[in-house]
Amino acid sequence: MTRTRAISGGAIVALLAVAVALPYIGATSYVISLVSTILIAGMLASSLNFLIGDAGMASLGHGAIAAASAYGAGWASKQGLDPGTQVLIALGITLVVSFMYGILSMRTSGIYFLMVTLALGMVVYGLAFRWSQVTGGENGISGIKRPEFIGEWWTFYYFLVGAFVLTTALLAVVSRSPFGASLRGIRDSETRMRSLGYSVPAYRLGAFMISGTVAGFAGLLSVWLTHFVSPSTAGVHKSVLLIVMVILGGVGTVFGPLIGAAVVVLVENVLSNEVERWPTVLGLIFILVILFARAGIVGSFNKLIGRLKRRATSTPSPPAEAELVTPSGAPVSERNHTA
Amino acid sequence: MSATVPGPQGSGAGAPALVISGLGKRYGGVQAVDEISLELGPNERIGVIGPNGAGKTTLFKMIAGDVAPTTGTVELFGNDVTRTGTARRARMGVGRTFQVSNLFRDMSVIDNVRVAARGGSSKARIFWWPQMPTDDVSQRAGEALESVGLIDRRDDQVSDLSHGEQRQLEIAMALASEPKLLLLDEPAAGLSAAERTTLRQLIEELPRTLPILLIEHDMTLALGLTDRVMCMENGRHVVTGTPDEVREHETVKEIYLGRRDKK
Repeated sequence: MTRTRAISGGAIVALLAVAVALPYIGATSYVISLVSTILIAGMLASSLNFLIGDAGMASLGHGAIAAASAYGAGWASKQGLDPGTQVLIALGITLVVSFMYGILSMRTSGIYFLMVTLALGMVVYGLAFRWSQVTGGENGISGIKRPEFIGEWWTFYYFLVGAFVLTTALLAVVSRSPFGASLRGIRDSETRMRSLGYSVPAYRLGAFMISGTVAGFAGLLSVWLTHFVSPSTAGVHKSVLLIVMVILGGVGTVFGPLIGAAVVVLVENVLSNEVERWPTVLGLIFILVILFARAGIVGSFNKLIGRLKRRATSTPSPPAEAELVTPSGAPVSERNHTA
Repeated sequence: MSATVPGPQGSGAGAPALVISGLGKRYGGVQAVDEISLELGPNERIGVIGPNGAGKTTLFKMIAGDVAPTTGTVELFGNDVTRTGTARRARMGVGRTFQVSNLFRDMSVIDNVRVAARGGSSKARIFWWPQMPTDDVSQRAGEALESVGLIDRRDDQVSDLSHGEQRQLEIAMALASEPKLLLLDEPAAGLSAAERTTLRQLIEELPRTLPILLIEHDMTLALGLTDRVMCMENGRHVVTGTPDEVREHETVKEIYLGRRDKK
């Protein structure tokens, strides 16, 4: 195992240990709620990070996928349907919405893809606002219950930690799979991939379905955390914040989205108590990262480690012992042995 | 006018790999390619030469499926593929290189070839398991790198390769997809004399059973590597024949050495 792997492995174990220990070391319900929000935002950002980092598709509609799933669960809860049906409806809506996004995005890329996802996000937002018989209109849906087995705050918290670890691991495996390599190929050169026999639209659709499913799952967890969903959750600013999280943390890194989510959630929820113009602070942080650490916090850290490693390996090593020669001409090592 | 160019005499060992008939492409008022016909036998190597603007690359793109022809048909292994997309043609067995190296710069050399070796097959759709360094795809990728002399650079990043090595990697990627027909688009573009020699050896050593259509600006390379050569000028067919016949053809000489002033 290389030193870098050992460091990142150690960091993961330490983070996980802190997350597991939080309820036992007297963390208040506010802190637990904050960490839960970070985990859910991190999960959502990870789903977008997969799409941007591996497939090169920056979506401005990911928040809307999560919101659609949340509305599905909220509606089902309001109808008094059991938690299993809630999950199935949320998952079904997620798959349908992701498929629609994917189908409409299959033959677009770059700025056009961004615009298509933005437009679809606006459609979801519009439906959330106007289809009031189902969505509750401007007031949204409140009093959404989560399943009994995660009814207690601490059981739900551990469920969240587990869900985060699971989705992060799943996305990491997909990224390292042949499918992930194919996506990176498409990201770098669509023409080359077509000439190799790859059906580019099908791979794009697949990528969107995987990413959308994770986003929908995060939306379901979000509604279970807050017991509430409103049109603002489908607003474009949510999707923009997700992109900010991904860029802050580092596009294409495994834990960058979590770090980016932590920065955004802490500024939005903690710093906002002290500083009225917290969005300006968030904007400044974003600009500073773009100017001085374009690879994001985690990405730049990885780069720094890589640079230090290269410098360490390229530093000329001192001459071997046998090459050191005494004034009399005898090698130092020989002299030592004979002394 | 259609220039029908049949396959070589006595090459009836099997169906031709490629037949193009009356292929033409018009861009607005410009006739980029004008009714070109050609037949590439199963074990044959044909070169297409011509000066800049001759229509070689447009012809190549129509054969590969990147550009739809205005007139004419393209047949691959006996199937009409005129309206078939690039990816489908690739899955039928067309391997190709690009005039400007078109590689995945953020990947290692071996990963580039692995992506090529999977070639859109079901193996490329596996998303539940990381790619393995010891599976048959990796083995095939390694063999392709071995054949072009890049096996020692397998773990290097593509951006660390020289231009010549990137051209070799282009060929390795085309070979890793196990093509039944190889299309080479100016593989020697931008290479030094020494790199050209390496490339020439590499192409010469490819199995004779693999039909090759080589588009090349460098006449010496094209004539030295192929069984027959077709010369184009201004989108039109000039002559097709053996390298010696083409070399001695008056019009070809005029194209490459300059036209005599008419008195």
